[in-house]
Amino acid sequence: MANDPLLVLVPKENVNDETVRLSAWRLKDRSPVAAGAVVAEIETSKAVIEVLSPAAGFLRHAAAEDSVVAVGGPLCWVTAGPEDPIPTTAQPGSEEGLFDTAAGARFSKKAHALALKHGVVDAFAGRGLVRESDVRAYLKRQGKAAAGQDQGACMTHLKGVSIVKEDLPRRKLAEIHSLSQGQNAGLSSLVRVPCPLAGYRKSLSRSPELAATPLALVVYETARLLRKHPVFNAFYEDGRLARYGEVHIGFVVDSGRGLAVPVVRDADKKDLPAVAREMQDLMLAYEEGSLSADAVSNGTFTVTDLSGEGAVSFHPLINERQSAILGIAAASGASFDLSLTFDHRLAEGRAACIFLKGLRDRLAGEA
Amino acid sequence: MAHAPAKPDLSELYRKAFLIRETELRLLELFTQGKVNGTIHTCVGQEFTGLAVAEAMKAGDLVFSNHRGHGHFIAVTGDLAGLVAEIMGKASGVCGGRGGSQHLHKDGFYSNGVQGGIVPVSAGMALALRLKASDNICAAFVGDGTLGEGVVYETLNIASKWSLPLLIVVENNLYAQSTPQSQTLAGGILERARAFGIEASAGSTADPGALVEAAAAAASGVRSGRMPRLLQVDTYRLKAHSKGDDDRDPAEVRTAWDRDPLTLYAKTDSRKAAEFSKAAKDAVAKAVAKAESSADPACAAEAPAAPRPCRWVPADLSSDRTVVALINEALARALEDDRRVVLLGEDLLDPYGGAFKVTRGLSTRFPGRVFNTPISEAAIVGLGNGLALQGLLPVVELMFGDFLALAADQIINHASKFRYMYGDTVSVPLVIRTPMGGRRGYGATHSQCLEKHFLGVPDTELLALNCRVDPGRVYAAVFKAAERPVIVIEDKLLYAMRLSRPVAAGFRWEHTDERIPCARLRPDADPDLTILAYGGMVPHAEAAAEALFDEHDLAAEVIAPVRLSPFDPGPLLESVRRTRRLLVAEEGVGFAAFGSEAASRVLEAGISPFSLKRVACHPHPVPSASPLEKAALPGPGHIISAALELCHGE
Repeated sequence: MANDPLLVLVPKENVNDETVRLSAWRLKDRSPVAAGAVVAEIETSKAVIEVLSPAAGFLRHAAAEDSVVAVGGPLCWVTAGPEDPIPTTAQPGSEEGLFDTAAGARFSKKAHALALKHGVVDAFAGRGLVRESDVRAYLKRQGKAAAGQDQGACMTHLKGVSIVKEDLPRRKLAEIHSLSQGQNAGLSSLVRVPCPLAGYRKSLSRSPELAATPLALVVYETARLLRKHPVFNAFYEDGRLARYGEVHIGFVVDSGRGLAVPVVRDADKKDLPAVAREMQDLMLAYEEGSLSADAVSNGTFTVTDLSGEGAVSFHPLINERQSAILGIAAASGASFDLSLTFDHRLAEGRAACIFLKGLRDRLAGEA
Repeated sequence: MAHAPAKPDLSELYRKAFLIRETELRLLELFTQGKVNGTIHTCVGQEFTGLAVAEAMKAGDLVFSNHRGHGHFIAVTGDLAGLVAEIMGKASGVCGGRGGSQHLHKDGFYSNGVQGGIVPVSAGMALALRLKASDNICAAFVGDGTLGEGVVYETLNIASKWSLPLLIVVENNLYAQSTPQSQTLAGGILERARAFGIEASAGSTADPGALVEAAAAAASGVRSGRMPRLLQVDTYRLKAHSKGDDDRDPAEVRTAWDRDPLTLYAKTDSRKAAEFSKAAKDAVAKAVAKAESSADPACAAEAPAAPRPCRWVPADLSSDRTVVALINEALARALEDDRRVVLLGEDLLDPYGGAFKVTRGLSTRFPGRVFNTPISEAAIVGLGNGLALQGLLPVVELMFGDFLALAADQIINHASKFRYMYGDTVSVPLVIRTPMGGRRGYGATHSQCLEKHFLGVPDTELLALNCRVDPGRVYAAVFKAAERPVIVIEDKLLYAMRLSRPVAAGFRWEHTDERIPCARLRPDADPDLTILAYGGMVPHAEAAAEALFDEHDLAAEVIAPVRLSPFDPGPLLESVRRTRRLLVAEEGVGFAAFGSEAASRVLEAGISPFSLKRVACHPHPVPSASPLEKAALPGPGHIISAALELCHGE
């Protein structure tokens, strides 16, 4: 017993204080202490009080000087030896964040249970307080079975068919969220313009950085062109056109590690080698699984290139809070396809064609 | 009592006495003619008291009077026209018709109609004179009936202990309204003063010459000795207490008329008496004619401030000092920056530093500006009134808010009245700080929230500090624009709290950008209900809002005003317009309380539909035992239950 560390609690000095300030340690951590020696000063709401050591030994601090400590909580230990192990002080469990499972969102218990059930917790990142009604509304928008609706009804409908349910990975859920937001009530349209391969190859050969990342040329030229076509660097909101002041171009990467859209910030202000280098860095981070949340957020326009996969035609989907996405399909014959899916609430096919032809000319070195 | 009856100045004294008498008689006539509002208390028979004391006053001396003050006023100020017009309710009256007979102020003259209340105010002014190192003095008239008021003795005690230059003049007319002294007064009058170590002497209106000498001796004793004195003046009121309420033996009154110095003067010098009387009548007639031709006071009601949109800014909750330390710093800054600031209260001096340690260290840092008082709440606030009227900025601490009841007369009948009833010629920058609230087992008389009794007191601000508004900022604003009485409620548990206590995720505190801000806990979602809370209820409302969200899926917005009276409902209305549900949580008894007022404002604003719940203390005294107290005072659980009823009708 004599060797057990002796815990000294923060004394209760008056009826008003639940916490006090540890204003000063009078003895350093691990210094020898005599019984009755003053070890610390605490400042209550009424007075500064000295705390005495109840025993002789070595003083071990359990709180930092100038910190606020709970009355009745641990203040220090007195140990037999200067390096004796002391029990780890249980940190009071933070109730904050109990339901804070998506960054910047706090769920009510009911909301959390419902979101968890439908695997949509991550869709509420940054949404502040999330109530059950918010989750229901979200699910309704997603066309999911309205929360609380009897799943048994589905089962009877699918009588004789077995179903195995599997939660989708978090990244997929975020993508679903972004894309469904992008389509939400959107009236998207698609135009396609062929781009001659010859001119494009010639442009690529001019910059050695492009050997490894030919897409950098597309990102570079698109960014510049978007300044002339701000309607495609924008989004629709409540009957209004919301234009972005910056041009942050996201580009889709997917080499089997899951789809990601890293973003080249202020791509319109960087020179071609810089854009290429940045894209290489981002792709490397993707391969290493070290893409930060920052690196994949706040894109204002997206480029997706499936030419390497041999796709000769596809329909890209607009991302959340964007008005267009550029698709690049594989060459058929002497040209490859540039396509633009755009929000028809903000622009028409002619504008999209003008944009694509402008891009084609830049890529083919004819601008 | 040898004196020279042929003293040259004595006939001048008689001339003035005739003026006072004719004024009083004419006022009685005007009353009968319906030309005087309310009633009047005349001093017929007592004229020489005021005159004798006025003779002893010097320029800059201050005189305090009571309900029977016309004679005092004329003797001291000589403003007959101003007095008559005031009593006849005219704009040219000394207080613009707002004060009337009992509430007169001009230059250094102050009267009020509540018995004894003006006495501590006069002591406060005497203290102000002492602090200014002036050689002026104060004189306060009371009647023998007023010796039944406790605050007189609180003041005698302080005046003696603090060596205040104050002359108390007791007009001993043997009646307290209708009740003879034999039924009301134990012991002697002079003995009362002497018990406090105050020198006391006597005179009588029956011998005006000797009375002048006695008053001069008493006043010069106060002036030279810088000590209070008491002068008893035996006299007799020849007319009724007020009007038509005289039950005294007519024979007794007749005898008094026969002994009346003006009756006797008319016998010994009838020519002069007739001359003085006529001159007085002429002067009064002129004053009345002037008053009658004077305009009625304009009824310019103060227009209510136009509602302005609330501008919200993020609350700065960075300070991790305790609230008690922040208030202490605010007081220190005020003492440092403003020479007018003085602190008064019980046990304020170091090393004790106040029962809740708010003034710790201040008496050491600012010697001579922090005063320990006897346990005399009424007198302390009265002193504050006097200091404030003399241009100081007194901060009075009442050890427990429960004791506001002891000082209620000084707050309600004095501090809040002076500016208005004296025709906007004075201001009362008085700050009263006091801790309120329970949850510490102090029992029925040390745990209450009594602020509701002081809501709506005219010209008086009532503030309640809370744990999400920097008290330093509030006090700085109070001191910066101090011109009216301010009562600041400091919740007891608040002292140990820190602004920096974590705020629940998904909520944020904001303030209006006003001088005295309103705070709001804003949920990061459209709110389902509004919780109105102030003072010590704010942390409970905050805890309830967090639990309401987590457990019950409800987003509550908390509105926490600092200024309860006068109340600006803007922030509350803004919130209720969105939620249509209001829950008021207050720690005091809810009947006719702040919540009732707030709910009325919502209805008056035409917000409909709108549903309401109120949470308050059980309507019995606050019990001491912990489980009883917990059950009686509202906490987060009560708020949550009421919120569920409000939102779901559960």
